[in-house]
Amino acid sequence: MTLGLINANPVVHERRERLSRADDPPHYPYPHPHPHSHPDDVLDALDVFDSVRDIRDPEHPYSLEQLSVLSEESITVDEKLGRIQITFTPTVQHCSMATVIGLCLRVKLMQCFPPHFKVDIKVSPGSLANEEAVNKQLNDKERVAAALENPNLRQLVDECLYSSELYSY
Amino acid sequence: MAEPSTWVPHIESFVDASRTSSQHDASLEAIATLVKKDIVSLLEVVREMEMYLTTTDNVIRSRGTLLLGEILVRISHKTLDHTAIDSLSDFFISRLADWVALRGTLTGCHAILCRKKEVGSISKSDVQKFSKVFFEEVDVRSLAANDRKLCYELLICVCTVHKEVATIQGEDLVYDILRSIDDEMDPTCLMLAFQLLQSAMSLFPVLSDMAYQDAFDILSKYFPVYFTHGDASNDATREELSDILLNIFCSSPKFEPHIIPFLLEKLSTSFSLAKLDSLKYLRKCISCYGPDRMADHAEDLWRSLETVIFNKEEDRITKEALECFETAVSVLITPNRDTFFGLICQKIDSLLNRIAPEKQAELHALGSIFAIISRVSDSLCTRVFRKYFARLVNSLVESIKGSLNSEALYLVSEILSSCRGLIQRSPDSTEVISEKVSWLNILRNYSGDLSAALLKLVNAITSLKEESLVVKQENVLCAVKCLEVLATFPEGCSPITDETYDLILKSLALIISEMDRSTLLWKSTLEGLIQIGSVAENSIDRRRSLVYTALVVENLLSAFINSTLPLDLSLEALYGIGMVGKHRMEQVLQVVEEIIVVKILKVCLEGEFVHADTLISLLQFYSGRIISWLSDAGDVSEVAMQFALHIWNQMENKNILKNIHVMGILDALMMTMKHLVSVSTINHQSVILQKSHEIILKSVSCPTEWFATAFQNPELLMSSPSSSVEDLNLISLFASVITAVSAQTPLPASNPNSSSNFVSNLFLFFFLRGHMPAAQALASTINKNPTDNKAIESCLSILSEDKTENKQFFKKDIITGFAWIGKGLVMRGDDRSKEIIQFLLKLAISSQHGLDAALSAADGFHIIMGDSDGCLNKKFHAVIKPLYKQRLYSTLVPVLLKSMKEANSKEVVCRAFGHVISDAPLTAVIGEAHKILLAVAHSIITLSMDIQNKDVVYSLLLVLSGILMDSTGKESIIENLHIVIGVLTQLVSYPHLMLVRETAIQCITSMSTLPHSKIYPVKPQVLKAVTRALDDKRRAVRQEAVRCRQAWSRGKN
Repeated sequence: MTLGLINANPVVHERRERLSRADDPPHYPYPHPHPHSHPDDVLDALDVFDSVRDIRDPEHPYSLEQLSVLSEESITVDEKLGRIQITFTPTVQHCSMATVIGLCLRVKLMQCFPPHFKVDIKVSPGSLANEEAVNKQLNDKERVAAALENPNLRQLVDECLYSSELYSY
Repeated sequence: MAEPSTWVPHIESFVDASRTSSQHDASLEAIATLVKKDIVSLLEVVREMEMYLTTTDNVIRSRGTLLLGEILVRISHKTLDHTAIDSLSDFFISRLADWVALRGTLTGCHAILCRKKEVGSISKSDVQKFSKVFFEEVDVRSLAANDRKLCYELLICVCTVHKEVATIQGEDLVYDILRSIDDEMDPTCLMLAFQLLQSAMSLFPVLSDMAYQDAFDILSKYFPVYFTHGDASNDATREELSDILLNIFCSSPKFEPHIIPFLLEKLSTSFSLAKLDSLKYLRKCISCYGPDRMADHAEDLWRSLETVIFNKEEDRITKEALECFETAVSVLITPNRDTFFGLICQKIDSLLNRIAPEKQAELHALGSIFAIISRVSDSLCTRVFRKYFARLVNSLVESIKGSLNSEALYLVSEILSSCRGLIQRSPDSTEVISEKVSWLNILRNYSGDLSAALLKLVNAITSLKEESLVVKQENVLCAVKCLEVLATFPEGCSPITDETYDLILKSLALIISEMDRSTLLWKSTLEGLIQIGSVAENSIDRRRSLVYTALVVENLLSAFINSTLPLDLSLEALYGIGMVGKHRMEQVLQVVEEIIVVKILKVCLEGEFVHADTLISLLQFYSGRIISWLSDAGDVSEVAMQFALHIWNQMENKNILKNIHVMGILDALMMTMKHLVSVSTINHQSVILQKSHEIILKSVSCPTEWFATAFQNPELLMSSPSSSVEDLNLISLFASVITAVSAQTPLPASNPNSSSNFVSNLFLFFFLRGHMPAAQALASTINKNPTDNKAIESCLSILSEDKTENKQFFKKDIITGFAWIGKGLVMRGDDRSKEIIQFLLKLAISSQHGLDAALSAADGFHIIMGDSDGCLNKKFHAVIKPLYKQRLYSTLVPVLLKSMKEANSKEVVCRAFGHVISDAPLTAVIGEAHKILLAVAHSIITLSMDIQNKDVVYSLLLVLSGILMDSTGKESIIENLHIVIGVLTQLVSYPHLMLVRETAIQCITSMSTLPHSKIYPVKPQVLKAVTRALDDKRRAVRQEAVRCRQAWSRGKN
């Protein structure tokens, strides 16, 4: 038996132009005149967004950015306190894939950022029927760990994270 | 003749399937050699083998047949008589039915068929018999890949070597071959199959329609060629297969009814490789099949191309589609065939009526179509002009009054640049000019209105008064491009009047002087002006050239003199304009020279130090760009000499000399002097030398007698009063002259009677007082004048004598100076360099004269091994022995490796080692990777303690990554994996240089591709180190760390 898609016909948005950071210092092959003059590159929301924007939706060959599940504004970073907070919006109210998306986000952030950051992943208020349950599930360490032990789930997450064959329109 | 007992065992060994393959090979070679040397006759061998060739045991029979076949391959150049050949071919042909022993039979047949006439070849009747039996008995499709390959090679041999026999068989041959290659999937075999079919079809000028139909049915299955399992391990690449398939289709126009509809259908799929290949095939087929055959497809072709061109596709597909379109336009549109053009016009008409600014993609596609039709031929261009140009120009001119029709502007610019290209391609354009309704005449009729409108647009952006017209930069950009095109038609067919030409130049020059310089508009206007200038320069009509000089060049020069433009931009503009021609550049050169002298006076005499930066940029521009351009363009010697003398004349003024070293001016001036001297001829160099020598003699304040004896008497050197600033400045400038002269130029002597040692004594004196330019000049003289032994001996005598008590000689400057002299000797391949190298090594290893001296000695190796811009290089005429770096590298490395353990200060030795390794050619280092790898690792760790060494650490890391990228280097890395990983993981948190951290992580990332069994044990260590880097201060490092972690954690586990 094949299950029907939960959202068979999603709205696809344009991908935003990738801005190169203007303040990136050029690479000096040899000693920079003032070796300590670079300010540190503080971790910001764009860093986080850049690492998660290309995660593929579990159902469709589009990225989370294209489906407007995520945007730069939905991410907040506090480097001093070591917190990253992501709020994402599933495409439909009854989306059962929300947990998978959340899991993908968590795995990706675990890979890309140092372990001392506390990561909070939430669905945006009012966007999902069982919002509280999902939020609780996504931020429960034990349950996340258990989910990643499940080989099928792990494979699904890996496919979403490493699929480079995103359709480009 | 040898006794059978001596060679029959070889046969037995080959036939015995239980032996190893190397034994088989050995016995085969042994028998083949015996036959080749006539020690054993072929007949005897066959007779002995009879049992093996006829036995009913399948394995032994197949081995026997294979042995005979392989022997025949090996004696292909040995003459055999007819009887032998006939009986052998009879034997093999009869064996084609024996499928168990087929490999040997095929090998034998191939060897016989390929034999040259001179050494006895197979008879025609046998070839005929062979091909008949082959197709009857052998089912190629059921064989293994290697056997299929043999079959194809055999058949290719039949079709190429035995053409006349193959032709007799007629179309049946093609059918038989088609049957054999059907469903072939192995890339290597497929390549041969295609070659076979190509050579078979070339035998027959025309085949029946059915044959083409069948061939197409079989071949079309392979389109587009792509590999399901990657193409890394195949002998035949995708491109090669695709090309040969295309060649088969193009070989006969009779494929046309089948292939063209097929390709058009493939073009509408969503598989981008299919699209790309269809377009490529279409392009080639259209030009091969010609207009008559393609006429029926015109409409379908246009519809398909239209869809691709007007829909947004990948860039490479759009590009290929436009190329295909261009071929179609040039082939399909002929005077009596108009369908294709009509279709294009329909599309253009429908688009022109409703084109809107928001449909940029459509507009660009339309622009490309216009550009292509107008550049294909004069007659098509004329049709475009008649049909559309007037309409576009009118709507553009109309819209200037109100809101600009930027689409029309864009399309006009595309058409204009195409038609200029058309006229530039065919210099003999009398036909176009004489024809009354040619595009050029239409353009002439409209050029007045058009250029007036364009000028109005361009002027609107430079003048503030006319506020009624608000213009966008991109529109002005387009207008500038149009004006450039109008002004760059070759003379004789210029569509614009002289007055318009003047106006265009004025407007563009205004943009250069008035507009914001950072914009694209400024840059492209400059490029436009350069283009116009080069056309004006090459035309016989001097009027335009003169106007250009007056309106553009002089305008820019005066802007430069009055510095109304920022310096860097006006220099860029001047250089651009200068590149138009030699006399333009000389014009620029003259003005720059004048300004340089004015600025020198201002800074040094009037103390206006604000001009120092300008002066330095001017000097750099002068020597780095103008002089090198002129020397590439031709003879620059005279000009260079004049300016060098001019500079020396200024030096006669004591006040200038006193101040010339402020704010780095002297360095820039020295570099300029070196360039000037290096581009001069030997005669001119002598003149400069003479002049500078005179000034030195006249102006240096300390007595010249000192120079000759200085090195023998260190006390005198110490006790004499220190040199004045003027003296040092003058010596520096003189040193730069000496550094750059060529080896043949005679050096001046202090008086005609003495030897030519004056120069070297002078520099030796100042070198021992720690003056670096003097040391470099001395090194240059030593390098270029091998006969001047005295200077070398004087230098070396200082080293040989016991002067350890004299601290004077262990200062940084002196040690560095010796390194320069050593470099001069090493480059020339002089053995005496050994003494200096030993001196430096001893200093570095023993550190008995303090750490500073040791460090300077270590850095000396960087000077000796490295390349320098300032002296001792090819440009400044140094004598360079090939591979001198490799030689020195291989002498130094063992010594340094040995002393690394015993040295007092390990850091110093590691530093020296680091310099030697990183300055040596990478290939030499990689060749000895196994010997030095551990030392490199050790040095990196030792050096990474101190921030001073960060550059050396970085260079060593680059060497390490170079070793890592090389296949033999990788083996050494694997052998020492734990140590290398240990070093790299330590560098991941190197605090002093971001580049080191970034490169270290990149190295670790690339190590994730090493064999998994080797890298598995270090994985936890790597992941731990890289996880730390996720928290790095710098973003670039963090991103590398993420990539590295992914690479390592995704590896096979």
